[in-house]
Amino acid sequence: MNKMDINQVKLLLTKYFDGETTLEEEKMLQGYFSDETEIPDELITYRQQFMLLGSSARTEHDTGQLDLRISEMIDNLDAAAPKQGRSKSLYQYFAAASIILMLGFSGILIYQARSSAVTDTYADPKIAYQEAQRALMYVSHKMNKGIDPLSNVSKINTGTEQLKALEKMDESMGMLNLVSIINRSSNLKK
Amino acid sequence: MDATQFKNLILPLSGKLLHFASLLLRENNEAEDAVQEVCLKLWKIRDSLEKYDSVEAFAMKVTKNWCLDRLKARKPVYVENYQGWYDRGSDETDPYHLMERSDRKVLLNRILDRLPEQQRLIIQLRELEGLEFEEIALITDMNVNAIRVNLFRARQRMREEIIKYEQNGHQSSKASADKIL
Repeated sequence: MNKMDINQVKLLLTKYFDGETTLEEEKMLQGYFSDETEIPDELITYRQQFMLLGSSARTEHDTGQLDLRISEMIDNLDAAAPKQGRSKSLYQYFAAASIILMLGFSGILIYQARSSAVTDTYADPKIAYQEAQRALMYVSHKMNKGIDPLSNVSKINTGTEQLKALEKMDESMGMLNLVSIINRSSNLKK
Repeated sequence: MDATQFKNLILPLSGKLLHFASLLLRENNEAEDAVQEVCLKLWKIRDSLEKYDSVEAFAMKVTKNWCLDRLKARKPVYVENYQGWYDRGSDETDPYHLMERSDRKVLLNRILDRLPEQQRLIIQLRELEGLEFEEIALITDMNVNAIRVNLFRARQRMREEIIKYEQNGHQSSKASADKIL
């Protein structure tokens, strides 16, 4: 490194204590204070600061042992992992299969709906109308026939009406409550 | 991301993470454990690592958080470590130089301990890790301006502490400081 003159050093120091120096300039200062043998007295305290910082600055060191440890750890984790990986992929296969099945079914349904719905049975619309009317009449006739036996259900209603008499019984039971009060007061007497 | 890809991405960072962890924890074995734990965490989220602009900064951040959590959980007893493992990697094999270096580290740690946590962290990242402001911002979630302010306060504070140490130190510590510096 080129030798810096004292004014240059002072300028850099001012910048340094304002937090304005670049890493490069900090290296220059560090170099100056560790290499220079004749440092003016006024700069001695600065020298101490840089020597202290320099003592713990990062140096290249051998990380072989540590790297080996980490490498082994990763390999072990990686070896343990496939079980999880396979179950994950099985799950994915299952999801894919169900999507394909769903698509297949819906395809079949759509195909059937299309092929059956659109064929015409009658060429003449008037005859088609008559036929449709006949079919609907037939349906309503059959339905009426089916509903007829249900009229018997109304008989149940008339049956329940007679049960209303029971309400009277309820009322008289309420009167009996008074008797229990009498009973209680006679107990108190005792 | 498979194991090989992961190792290629993460293992080159181990030295940097280890140094940072040892600065924060000041304990070698624990720092190695920290890096291993951090790698485990990164492995678990290996598939989302790609979304980070800088995996290195992210790894530093995870390391920082892990170490700070560890420090908070640790008992307030603090053992000074004279002979750091990172001396092993340095070129100085002369025992005198090794001793001198570790003494400086102890003194530095003592001074750093007098700084607020944030200032200490910024000094560690900037001066000891040699990182750019943008990288520090990614690691600490602070903006560049706040980092700059913390940095110059920390530097001035360090200087004050060094001067105080010189002037007010007991005769013995002054003598040892003279020896060290």
